[in-house]
Amino acid sequence: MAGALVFGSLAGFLGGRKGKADENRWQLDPDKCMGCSNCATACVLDESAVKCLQCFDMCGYCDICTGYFDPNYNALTTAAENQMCPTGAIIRNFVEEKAGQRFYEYTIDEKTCIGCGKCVKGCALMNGSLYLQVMHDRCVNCNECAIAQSCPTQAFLRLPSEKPYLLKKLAQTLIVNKARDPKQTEARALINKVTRR
Amino acid sequence: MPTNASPAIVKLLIALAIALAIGVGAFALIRQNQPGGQTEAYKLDMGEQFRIEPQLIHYQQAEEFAANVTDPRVMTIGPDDRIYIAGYRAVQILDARGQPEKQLPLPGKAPTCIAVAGPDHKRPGGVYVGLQNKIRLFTADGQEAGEWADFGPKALFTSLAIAGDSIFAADAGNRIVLQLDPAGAVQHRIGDSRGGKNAPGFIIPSPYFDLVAGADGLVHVVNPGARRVETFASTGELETVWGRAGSNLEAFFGCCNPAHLARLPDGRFVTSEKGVPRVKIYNSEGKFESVVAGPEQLGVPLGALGDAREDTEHTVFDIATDSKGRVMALDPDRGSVRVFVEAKNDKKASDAGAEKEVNSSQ
Repeated sequence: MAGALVFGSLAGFLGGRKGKADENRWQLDPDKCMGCSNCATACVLDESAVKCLQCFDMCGYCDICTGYFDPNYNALTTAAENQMCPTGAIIRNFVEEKAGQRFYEYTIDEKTCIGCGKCVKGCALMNGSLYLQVMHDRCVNCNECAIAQSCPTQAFLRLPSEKPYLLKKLAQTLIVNKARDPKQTEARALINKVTRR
Repeated sequence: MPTNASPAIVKLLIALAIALAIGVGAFALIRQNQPGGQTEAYKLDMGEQFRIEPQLIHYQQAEEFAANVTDPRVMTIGPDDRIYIAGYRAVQILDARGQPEKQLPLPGKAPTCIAVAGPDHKRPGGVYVGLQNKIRLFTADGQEAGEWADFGPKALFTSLAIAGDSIFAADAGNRIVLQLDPAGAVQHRIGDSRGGKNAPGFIIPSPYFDLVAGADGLVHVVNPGARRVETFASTGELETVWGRAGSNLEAFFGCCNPAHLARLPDGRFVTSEKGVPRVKIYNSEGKFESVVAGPEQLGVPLGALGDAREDTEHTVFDIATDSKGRVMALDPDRGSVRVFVEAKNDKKASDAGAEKEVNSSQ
């Protein structure tokens, strides 16, 4: 009787561990993403769970950001016709003027971003600091992710729920190096949220 | 419509029109929701940058030969028009016809730049290879001759050029050009905005920071974040500036270009851009003249522009010129050197292009 109880407890414990380990989440590998824009339309949610993120450590803070400006821009202004983003989700803020050049910070308005990846392609022409990720405050974690099904480069994969995000490999190298400094608390926090490769 | 048409026919036609409208609307909605059927607004259109008017292309590819080294990264031309290509763990030396001559071994770190000393240098024919923050030396006959490694952890050498006895090293990490003597000692720091020599300072958003040095004692340095080329005296005084930012052909594209710079024997400049790969010619005063090759001629398809994947991102062509005025482009994807020669006139260039099309379609 006691043996059966011990065996049952152990089986239950192991079963529970297995169940927890299986709680994986969908994510897309930014090094395999080609910015095809399927993420914007294939998600079962009306507003896609995929959003664009900015890796500031890779950004050049440039005046002519190819992720922000349409390649055929008329002027370097924030007028809608000059912007690449179809929903105007990139916010451009002046930072400083140095060596005769103006520098700007580009941030993503997550509520406005639809995850189409157009800016990711534009940014990839230069520094490649913009990338897409499945946001887990929105993703409903379908068994069969509709975006993963339609992804032309098979960029989707499953990650453990406690670390459900990925960085570009180059960004990971930069941020891991930065996080070695104990004062870099933001970098350390970010590294703790991502699955490292 | 006849005025005496029966009400039944009118009703039928209206019903058909409504059904047709619903059908068209439903089809449009379904198309929009299908992967690959998105609105044009989601697509990056680089068509205008991709296409180049054929009459502006004054060069044609004459030949192409294998780089003969894994992961070729940087290239230069040495004495007798020998071609030096640095790649994974080796420098490959080719003769002017592309025949392999010799390989020099390199340590594990990826080479970032290379230069070969001319006949007026203290070590004629000596090979200098930038390995991130170090410079490795070889003699003209390929023997290892030491390493300069005292430039600090932040240094990142992205270009070397040799004029006379001076070695100019573009350090992207510290945003400075160092003039070194034959022993590797720093003689001048060029482009330091704190130096009081009118230099505004270099802006280097990505690790592309190239320069060329001439026998006239001038150093032409790309300031990529400013999308221009700045000419300095060897002592650091800023002399002239040319180039402007823009997405049209005459200008330099994006945040930081040109990625590479070379000079023809007649003093004209050759530039190579990243993002939209194109090799262009500017006259000695920096006025746009013509195109050597655009993305199409370099074999980069329109769909590849902006492809964010790790293995397709950043196809950047290093360039070099030889004593005959040939322009060499190092193709990292094909692992080859592509040799472009100037066509005699525009008609010849366009004829050559047409002939190539015919050949490729056969």
